[in-house]
Amino acid sequence: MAQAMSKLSENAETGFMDEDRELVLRSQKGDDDAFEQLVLRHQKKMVNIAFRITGTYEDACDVAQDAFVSAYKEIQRFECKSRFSTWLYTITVNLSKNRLKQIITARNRHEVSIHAEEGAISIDPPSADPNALEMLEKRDIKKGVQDCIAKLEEDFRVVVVLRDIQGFAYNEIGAMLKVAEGTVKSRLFRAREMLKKCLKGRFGEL
Amino acid sequence: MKGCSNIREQLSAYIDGKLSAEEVKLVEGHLAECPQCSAALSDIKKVVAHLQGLEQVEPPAWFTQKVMARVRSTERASERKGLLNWFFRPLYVTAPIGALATALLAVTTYFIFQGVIGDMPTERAVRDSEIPQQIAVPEKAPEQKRAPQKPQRAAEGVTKEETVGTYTKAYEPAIRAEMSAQKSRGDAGTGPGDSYAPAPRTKYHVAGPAYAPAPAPEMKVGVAAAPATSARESEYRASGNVTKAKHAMAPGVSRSQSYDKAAVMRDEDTYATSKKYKPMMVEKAPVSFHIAADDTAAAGKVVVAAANEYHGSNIKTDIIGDKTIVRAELSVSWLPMFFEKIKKAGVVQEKMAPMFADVSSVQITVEIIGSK
Repeated sequence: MAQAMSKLSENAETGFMDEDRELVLRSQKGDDDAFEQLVLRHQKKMVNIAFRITGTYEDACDVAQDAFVSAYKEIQRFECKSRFSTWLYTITVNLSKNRLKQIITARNRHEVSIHAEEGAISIDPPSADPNALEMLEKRDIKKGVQDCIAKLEEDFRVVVVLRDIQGFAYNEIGAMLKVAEGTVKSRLFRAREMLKKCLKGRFGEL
Repeated sequence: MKGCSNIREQLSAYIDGKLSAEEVKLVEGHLAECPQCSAALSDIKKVVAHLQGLEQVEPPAWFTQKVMARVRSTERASERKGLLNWFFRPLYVTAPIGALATALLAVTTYFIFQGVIGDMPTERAVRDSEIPQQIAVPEKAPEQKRAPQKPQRAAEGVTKEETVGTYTKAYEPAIRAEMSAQKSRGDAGTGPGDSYAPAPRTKYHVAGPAYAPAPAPEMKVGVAAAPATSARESEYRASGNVTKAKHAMAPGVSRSQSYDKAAVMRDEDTYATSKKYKPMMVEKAPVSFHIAADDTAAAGKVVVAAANEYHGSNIKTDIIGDKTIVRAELSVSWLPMFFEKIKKAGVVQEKMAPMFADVSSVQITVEIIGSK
């Protein structure tokens, strides 16, 4: 009880009301139904974060599942000093970044082919010229935007996803990524500039 | 325009409302005068609009169920830690496990040792278990069923303790000491075992300073007892010399009674049977050898020659079936040389050293068996 009061006061001090708090406390006591409510409440956002970071729906679903399982295992360690959602999304972001690294590694491996007859290793880069199909899809803005996001480096991709797609505040993003707000600001500026160039290059205009 | 790059760096934060009032004023003042930076601001807003315009994907219908299925089959870290914490709570050391393990180890060890000690033939048990056999075999046919077991046990016990040495002069003093002990027992002349001190070795010390408590002769008995006894049994029966054999074994009775009543209990009927034989003073210590030879007749001649050479008396040769048995009385002092000599007759397989004998002579029995 005293612990609960202390947590309430902490929440009052930090100035946020966590709507998940009750469910989290119940879940910490072993109430799986409460945890299921948390899953229902956050699954969509988690899948979307993972989807925009990893770029594929299947990977996103896997990552979100893994994130929930990790959260369930470690929920006793969550001390209600921050929003539960922030904690949950941090797990999702980290797992998404890990999955992204795996995807990039696998893609690079795939793009390296060994020409045994020549006895040399050559790298076949993805074609820079848009083929006919891509020309047809040029006006598919949404795909173009996703493609441009996919071309961003991991750190820039993550801030864009969290800020412009998911709408998190700078301080929340800083908390999730464990970086200062100034860093979030500068990364976001550079990410948007890169996206602007990418989109202009793809569509000619924004 | 100078300062445009600084302003453009601020535009991203500007649209998010992350600039201070002064920075906002500066940026807005610049934008009013700079169409390029205003266009840049417009571009950023469009980019953000594109990003915000991306549709949200829906999780699959099975998502919640799948997550919960995985979750329910997952052990929580807290539960895992909690259990460990509970176990190690008192000192955060391995004390509870250590105590439990020690207790288990102690109990297990106790039971194991109880079992082992129960089965383990001690030196006393070795002696006692062999001796009733020596009596039992000639007297009662049913006892032959047990005969192969106990001597084997005795032999095992001996083998664990010491290996059998060769028959040399080295253990002569022990023989003599044993003879002295025997003599003192015989002199006491009472019932079986009454004359025995609980610890025979104590008696040996009393017997004389010349005694060196070498266990070798006893060990030899242990090894030789099993086959030798049964062999002698048939031998004595065949030669009508059973009485002498019984007499030779008689001291064993008193030993068994004195040392270990449990051993006697095991062979209660044996003991009861043998009890009627009064222990007698043995004048000649029995010493027996088994020789495996290709030509038993020739080997017998070698043995007889050896007995003659070393001043043996009452030399007798019996041929029983395929065995040749040579008996002779011999002075103990000639025994080692005699032993060396009969090695020429064949492979000396077994031997029985004198334990209970008079002072100077031994009754030699050499049993020659065809080696084929």
